[in-house]
Amino acid sequence: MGEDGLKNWILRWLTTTNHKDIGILYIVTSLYFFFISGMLAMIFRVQLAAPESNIITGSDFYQAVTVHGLIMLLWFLSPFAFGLANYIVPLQIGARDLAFPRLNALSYWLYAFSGFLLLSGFFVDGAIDTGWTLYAPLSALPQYTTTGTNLGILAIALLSVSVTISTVNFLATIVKMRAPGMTWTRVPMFTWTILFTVLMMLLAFPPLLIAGVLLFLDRVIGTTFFTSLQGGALLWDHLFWFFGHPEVYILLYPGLGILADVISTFARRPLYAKRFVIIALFIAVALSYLVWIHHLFITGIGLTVRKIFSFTTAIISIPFEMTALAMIVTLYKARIKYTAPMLFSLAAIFHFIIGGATGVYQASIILDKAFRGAYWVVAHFHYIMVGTVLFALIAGMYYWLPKMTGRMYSEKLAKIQFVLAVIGLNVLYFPQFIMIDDMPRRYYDYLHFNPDLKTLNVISTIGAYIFAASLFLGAYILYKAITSGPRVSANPWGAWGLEWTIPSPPPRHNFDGTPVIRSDGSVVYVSDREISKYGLPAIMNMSVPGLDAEASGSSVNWSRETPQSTPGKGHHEGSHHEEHGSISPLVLSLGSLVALIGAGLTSVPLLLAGTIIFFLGIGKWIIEDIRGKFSEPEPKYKDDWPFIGVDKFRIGMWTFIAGESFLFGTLIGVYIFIRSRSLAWPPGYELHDPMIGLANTFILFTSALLYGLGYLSLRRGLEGRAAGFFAGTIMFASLFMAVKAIEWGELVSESYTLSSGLPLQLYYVLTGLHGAHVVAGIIATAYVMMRTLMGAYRSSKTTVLMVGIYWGMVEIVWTFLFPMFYLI
Amino acid sequence: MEARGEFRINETVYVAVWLVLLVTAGIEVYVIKAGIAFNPIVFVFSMAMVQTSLIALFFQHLREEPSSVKLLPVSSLFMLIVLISAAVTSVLACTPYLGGGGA
Repeated sequence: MGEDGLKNWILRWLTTTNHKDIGILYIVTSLYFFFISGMLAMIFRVQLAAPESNIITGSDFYQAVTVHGLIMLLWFLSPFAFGLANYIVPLQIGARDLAFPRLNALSYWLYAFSGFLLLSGFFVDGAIDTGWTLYAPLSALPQYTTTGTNLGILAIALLSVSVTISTVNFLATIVKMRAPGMTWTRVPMFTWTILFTVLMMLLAFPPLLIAGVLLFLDRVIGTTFFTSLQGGALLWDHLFWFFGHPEVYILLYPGLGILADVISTFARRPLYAKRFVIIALFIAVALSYLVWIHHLFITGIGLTVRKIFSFTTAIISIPFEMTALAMIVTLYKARIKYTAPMLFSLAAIFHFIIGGATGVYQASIILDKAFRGAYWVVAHFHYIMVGTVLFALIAGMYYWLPKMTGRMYSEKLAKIQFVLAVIGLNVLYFPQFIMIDDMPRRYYDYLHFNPDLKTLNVISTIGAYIFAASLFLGAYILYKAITSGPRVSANPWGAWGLEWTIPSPPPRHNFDGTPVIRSDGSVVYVSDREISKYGLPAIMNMSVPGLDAEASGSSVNWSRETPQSTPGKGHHEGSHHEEHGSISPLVLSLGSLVALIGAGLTSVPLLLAGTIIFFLGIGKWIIEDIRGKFSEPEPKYKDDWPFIGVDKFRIGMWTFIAGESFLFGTLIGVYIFIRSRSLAWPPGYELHDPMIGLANTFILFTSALLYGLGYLSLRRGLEGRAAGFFAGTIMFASLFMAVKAIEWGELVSESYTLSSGLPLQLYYVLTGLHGAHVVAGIIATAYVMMRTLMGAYRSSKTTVLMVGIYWGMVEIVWTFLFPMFYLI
Repeated sequence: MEARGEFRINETVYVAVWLVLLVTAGIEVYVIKAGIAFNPIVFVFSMAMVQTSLIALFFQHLREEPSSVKLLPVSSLFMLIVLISAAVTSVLACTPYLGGGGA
């Protein structure tokens, strides 16, 4: 590779927005984090095998277990799964890319930099050391924790933003960009589980983001959300576990989807009772939000609530039992091909049963008391996270590696890896069940109270090293396959699914022509011309004679028993996809990283520098928009029930609004929670003038009205008048902010600051966050006004409508904040 | 929106909704200042819900969106109510702490 070649190669990976590139970036980055996290585990396992030798200090041990836990859960398992999803989901549903390619790149860079932010703690006085659950009030007290804890908390917050963006993107893609005939019953299980995963992410991450922000304020500014008696540990527990328990299923679901697809392929038959499995998994999505309180059983909360959540925790196992059973029944009397992905999948089911069964005990209030904080829970949890999820991800990697690289791995070496992995995992974690509740978690030295535990710990550590050896072997297998593995056909497994009908590796544009799934399940690739000529219904109903010969692509029969692997050929007609690169996601994310390091270390220069870089990224983003570089149209022909006629931008915006509402709703919940635990609370009208609040409410409502009138004017083609209304919106919204600034100034001048008690802390945080949203709305409206004057909305007014929906959300939040802080 | 045809809303509806929002905000202040609300907290949150519905249905055009789109904010609201209710209920049995508020 010459100098120019190297430069172009680097530039491509820094600026790519292609879903397959982003998928590979996710996979590689998550593997890097996995390596770091795994090394930390190796270190603390040695300490646990020989605690008398004090290989690491207590402080090092706490940092190691905390970073290990956080990385494995938040920076490895999910991102690795979403790396696969980035690559595979568009191929499975017949899309050319994700709905918003540039946002996809932004999600990735935010994710990558959030991981670096977490690890940057090792370069100050120590990385985050609170345990991965960051239990308050300890985590809220900087004097007892490392500076790296600040960075770790901000890393979690940044990751939450990345996840929310991903959620919007995947949801819009899966519901709006499926190929014609890709009905919901035909959607592969992996894509189904990714859809369910993002639904859970949508509502689980905002509470985590809020919890992180409040915790950071407690540590740096001196607020008392988690150190006061009214908030304290219970508030943290609620916020954290409302995220934390759905997170378990967020990690699990993509793995289940992989297992279902792999088992179906190598058992040579469809997944048994697929529709019931989908329904069961959907029910579990709803239930996942209704079990978090079992993590609070020993906190002294009301018995009735504990009973209810004991019940919900017990019943959530039923959908998963159904899913495991469906997979097992699929194998019954099947002609199974024992390839490496299949072997890893079978082992994953076995571990899922062990991990699942041992988890049901936690539903019991009594047993939960005994097992709380003990190695029983560690073993249960790792059988699910490692034995099930990681095994499923390895299965997925081997399964799709030939598709992604066009090369095959060594089956022999992969089977040796499998044997090592199963032995290593069970030697590592099974002894931890035997420890039951004798061995408490997060102890780096247990000899002084129970020296008998040493044998089990030594066995466990030996298992850890065997398991690590299997992973290093896996890395070698991947390397060999990618560099010198034998070439493979489009469908080496004889698998069912759209991704197997295109060459390996897939072309940049994915599909030649539009894939159409016909009534008998076969696929044809047709051009726009052919669709116009025959009509989609006729093509789908197979009533166009000789289409296969005439159409641009070949026919691929999806029948289970006779899968074929002929890739689609023909012209790249009908594709609107063009390759775009953008540096703005990288710049924007880099700015976030620098600014947050500055915030974490309370370094104003770094904070300012990061903010400037961030806004440079925003500026570049806007310029790209103005140039129309990223106006990726929706596919003309698609299967998008039940969202027919609703464009992807509206789906994306409403998804975003749902997440944002939950963000503010969580904060309002914090207010209600804290207030309900306080006997004394000054009425709002004692601190703030209700008439000023009312006037400001009128101002904000008026700004929304003016925006709506601007939108209507634009619809009538009155661009000058529309721009005038938008200017009015900006003026009124700015007036609203000016009034807020004056109010804040007066409060501060009267010595009412963030350390003046919880009512004012809540006031500052909630109105501050709302104010930030108003400012964002002003910037967006200024953009809309400018584009209106440039005549950019003569054909499509989607952007104008999106900003209007956003303003609506800002108004709605204020309808709650006004009475909360000015009236009651 | 273009795909479904434009929303049917007009200036009159916008202005009418805006007026209702102003009036309800005014009523809120009057009722609280006069001290005639049976339960001020329930009252203001109920009024906020009314205003939220108006904004969502008309300013955000949710009224004319298909049910599948309506489901997104509605399910979010439902889960939020579950979170807040369960969290608050779980600690109601605990003794409230004195002096929590004090500004």
